[in-house]
Amino acid sequence: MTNTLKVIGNCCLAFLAVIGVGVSLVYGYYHFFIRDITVGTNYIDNQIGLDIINAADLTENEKNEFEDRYFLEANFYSNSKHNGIALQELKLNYFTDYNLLSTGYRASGMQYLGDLKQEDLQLVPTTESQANRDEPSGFSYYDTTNGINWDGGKLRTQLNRESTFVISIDNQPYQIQLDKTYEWTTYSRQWYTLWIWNKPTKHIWLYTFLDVFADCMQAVRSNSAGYGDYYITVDLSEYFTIRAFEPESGKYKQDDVTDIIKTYSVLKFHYDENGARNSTQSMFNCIDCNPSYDIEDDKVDTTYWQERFVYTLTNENLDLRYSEVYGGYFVALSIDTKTMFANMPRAKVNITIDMDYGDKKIVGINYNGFENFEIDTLTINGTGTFYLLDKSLFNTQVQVIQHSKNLQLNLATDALNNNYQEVAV
Amino acid sequence: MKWYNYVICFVLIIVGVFCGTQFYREIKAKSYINGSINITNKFSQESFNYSSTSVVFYHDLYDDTDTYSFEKDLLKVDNFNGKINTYQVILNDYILLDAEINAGSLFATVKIDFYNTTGNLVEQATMQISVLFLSNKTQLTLATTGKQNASFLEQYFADNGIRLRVIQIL
Repeated sequence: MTNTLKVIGNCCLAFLAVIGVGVSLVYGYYHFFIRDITVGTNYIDNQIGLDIINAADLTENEKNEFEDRYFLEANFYSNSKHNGIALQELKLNYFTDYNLLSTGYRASGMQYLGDLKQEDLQLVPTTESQANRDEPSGFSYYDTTNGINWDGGKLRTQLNRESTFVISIDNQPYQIQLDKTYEWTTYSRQWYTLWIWNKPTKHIWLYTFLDVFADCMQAVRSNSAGYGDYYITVDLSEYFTIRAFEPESGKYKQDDVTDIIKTYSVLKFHYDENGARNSTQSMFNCIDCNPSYDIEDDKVDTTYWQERFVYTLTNENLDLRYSEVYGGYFVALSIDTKTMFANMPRAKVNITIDMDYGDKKIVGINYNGFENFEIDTLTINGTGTFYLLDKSLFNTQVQVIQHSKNLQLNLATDALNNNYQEVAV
Repeated sequence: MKWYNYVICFVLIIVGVFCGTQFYREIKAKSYINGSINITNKFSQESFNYSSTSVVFYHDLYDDTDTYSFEKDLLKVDNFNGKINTYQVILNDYILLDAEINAGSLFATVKIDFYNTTGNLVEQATMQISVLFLSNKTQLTLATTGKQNASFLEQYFADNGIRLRVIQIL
């Protein structure tokens, strides 16, 4: 009985082994002789959180804030005009988790003071662990979550080969990592084989963010539109590996079946003919980790409390109403213009009225002519009597009414409701 | 069977399972496309709209007019026509009156007064805005006279940003 079972077991084992050999042969034949090429293409577009509403529903200001958030952004001051310093910056916009919400926004960036070119890159022998862990030297690094406050230092995300970033592709989470290599072989003839055999030596170049940075700057430098703010699409296939998130397993899975995987990303850039002058021109609001960086030595003291936009209105800006009783025209502002000024609280409005307006005689300000918005100075040029009808300057807080010496003001009881200074010039 | 025959069989089975799995994956593998990129709308804009967090004025050393300017090449604007349409120029929510609007250009002047903490006027800055709507791009120029003016304007834009819009009034 035992022997019978053993024989059956051996037969099954042998049978499975034969099947294994068969499957292996079929697979080998398919893999090397039949298999067709498959190509996977990843397009990395705008990295907008899924919770951000449609662009059509956004206001203009919201559009500026939310619409443009591309994985790669570059800022390049070439200093071709020699009026500042050459400055190059690269920013990566990504998410901190697979929910792809705006609360998970994060960006990391690197900054180079100077004009780094690809030919400046040098092969430096290093160990694999060093190459994976270390960040390129000679750069300043920054980090942000809200895009406004940036910080450097050790507690920021490291831009090295071990760093992985979550990005959105077609509103699905993917992981992207700079982990690819460039490999090549050199051959050297050996004397002991009478120079017949060439000894191969394998070299591996572990790409770092230095390579990505230099290539992005070269892409910006060589763009056909020249200086300005533009968008191009760059091929990141040589540098980055993309892994798709599988919700069932909760893991990021690498595609190791597809033969060729291409990864394209939009690169948004600012390319400037000028040199950078101060830190406000940096994407990180810092140059050389200094938020007050400025190449000017003798800076003007620009501390102030408040600014006011100055508007000077003249007869051309005013509506006219003819009065037979007064024998001339009364001026006023249209309701739309009054509403416009009322909605601009920092507007400083000065009004100058010339009583002689071509062939028309201006005799005063109409009922409710300038009410309900703030006026700084009202100037009236001319001679005779100038009438301010009821509520003509009501709620305007007019500070100064300035008029010609030979002009008399005739104010209605409710013409205005504040104290003012009258100046005759 | 000898013990090594068992080992060989197990190895062949494992290799077979591995090859079978790979065979299945390769047979099932298909080319794919994830996502899409559409930046066709990034080469022009329907209406002029420029925004930035700062403005820096440059002074040409060989310029003896003491002019400080900020120049920027922007995307072309598709349908600007100052001859036919009416436009409103808005800088940081302030409507600029008396803007001179031509067929393919506009010019405007902005005056900003700056007050110190005691309420006294410390600076009166005037800035010229020029927008040229060219066939392949839009050229924006902001200009002012004097370093003091330029510095105060830079400070204002660093504090408030710049949002310059040209809106067609329908």
